Amino acid sequence: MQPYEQYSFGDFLNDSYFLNSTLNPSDETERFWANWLQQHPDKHPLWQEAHRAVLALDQGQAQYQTRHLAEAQVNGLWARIQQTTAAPQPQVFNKVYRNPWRMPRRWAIAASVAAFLLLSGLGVYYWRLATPGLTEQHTAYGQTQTLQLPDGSVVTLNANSTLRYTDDWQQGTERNVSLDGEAFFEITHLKSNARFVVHTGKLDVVVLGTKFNVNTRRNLTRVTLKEGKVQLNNLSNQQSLVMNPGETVEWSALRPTLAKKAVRAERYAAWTEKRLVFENTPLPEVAQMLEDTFGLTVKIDNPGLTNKTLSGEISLENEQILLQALHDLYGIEISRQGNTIILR
Amino acid sequence: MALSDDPIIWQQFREGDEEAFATIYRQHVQTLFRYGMSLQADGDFIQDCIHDVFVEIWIKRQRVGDTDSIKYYLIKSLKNRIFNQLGRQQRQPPAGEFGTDVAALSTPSYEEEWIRGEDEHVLLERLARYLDRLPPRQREALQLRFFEDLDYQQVADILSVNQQSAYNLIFRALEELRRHLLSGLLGAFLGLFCEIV
Repeated sequence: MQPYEQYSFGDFLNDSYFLNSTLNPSDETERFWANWLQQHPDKHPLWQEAHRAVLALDQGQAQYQTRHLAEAQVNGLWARIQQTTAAPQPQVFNKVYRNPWRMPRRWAIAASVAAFLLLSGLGVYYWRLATPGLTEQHTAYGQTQTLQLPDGSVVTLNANSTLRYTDDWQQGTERNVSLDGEAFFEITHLKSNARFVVHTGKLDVVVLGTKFNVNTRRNLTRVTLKEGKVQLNNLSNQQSLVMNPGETVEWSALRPTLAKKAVRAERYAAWTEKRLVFENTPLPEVAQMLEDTFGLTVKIDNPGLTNKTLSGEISLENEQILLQALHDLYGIEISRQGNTIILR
Repeated sequence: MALSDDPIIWQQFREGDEEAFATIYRQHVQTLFRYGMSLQADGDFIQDCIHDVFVEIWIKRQRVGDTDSIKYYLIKSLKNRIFNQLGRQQRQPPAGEFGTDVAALSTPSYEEEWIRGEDEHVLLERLARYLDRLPPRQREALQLRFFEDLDYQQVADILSVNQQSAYNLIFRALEELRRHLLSGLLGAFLGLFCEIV
């Protein structure tokens, strides 16, 4: 790799260390760049442009993701697709009549029976090879579910989340699950020391025995460790990182390099106890949480509110109680039309 | 690449598993919608196209090929669908990245606001909005690479160009962005400098 002093603007924006230190600065990265800039003062303008461009891209991504379908639209569109696919598709069978190779009827029957036996034999054989019993658990909006895996580990799935795994976990082999959404894991440590791996797109969480939270919503994967030890394997750049309790690590395409941040891990797992803990949490983040958990569309109709931060704890029992609490505790005016909530 | 269980789900879907089909829909519908909206900002039209894509892959499920990335496959199908519907006259020329639309760039003077020393935060927000005004193919390439996390080869396939051209498109998009970060002379000078390097 070429040294930073030979970097062009585009090189900086394709460099994961640079991206990450801009979006997630730490003492170490600040020191590194301050030092580098001191040695290369002529590069300061270029560096600063690249720095601003990364921040602008980050905001651009946030805005890009605000275009989305409301839950009702997602369901409506799916109903339409199912309606169309359920309608008969006759054209496939009509052409047989024109086949010049038509056989006498008896032979046709014999041949089709033989073909059926052959194909079904192959089919069963292939089916056994291809599907080792995939289990999928999906939670609806506003619903959480606790389930036990074949090895005794316990997983609590947050609303609108999916967990997938194959049932054939043999003694001593690696245990694999994949997650889309958010879940809290309590992993049983096995005598065989078999690893437990949570796959989330480009980030694998590798565990021995521990309690941690994984959230993959909105193109951002966030892992928070409560107890024990986990290792993160970043498939996009082969980076590995070991986490300690009380740390959180985020991954997204824009910030592919993993960096740790200290947090109160309880805050990220509070949803498992039907509570929400805010700590200077910006209101837009609370709005996103409402959308992800209850399938609502939340609009903030007062520019002053976007900078508001909330601290405290409220119940997550149902959306009505939560909205009432937002109103009572923080004086936010709330109006509702169907699945759309407007905060003023 | 893709979600590591993509090949499994895809195989189940091809065997006619309706739940796998529903899972694929749920996982990708929002991605397809926002990508579609960036090509043609008409929500009803994009929903119609998404409908067509899913109906088509269901009917043809036994004939569709393997894929490592369902997301990439669907984005590519949606794009084809949108442009088929819009008709020939509106289709982008395949080599469009060489003649980028310069007129589209001469939008409000962010430079002036920059000189006036506006709040950094406000400026960043404007720049983010400026991404929407990039020439369409540059914006599309940038979105697919940075926001949808496809690799350069997949971006290239969707844009029907080779990998080097995809890289160039993104590089140029970043350069455009950069040009708007700098005021007047200094920007032009550095731009020239970068062209030479």
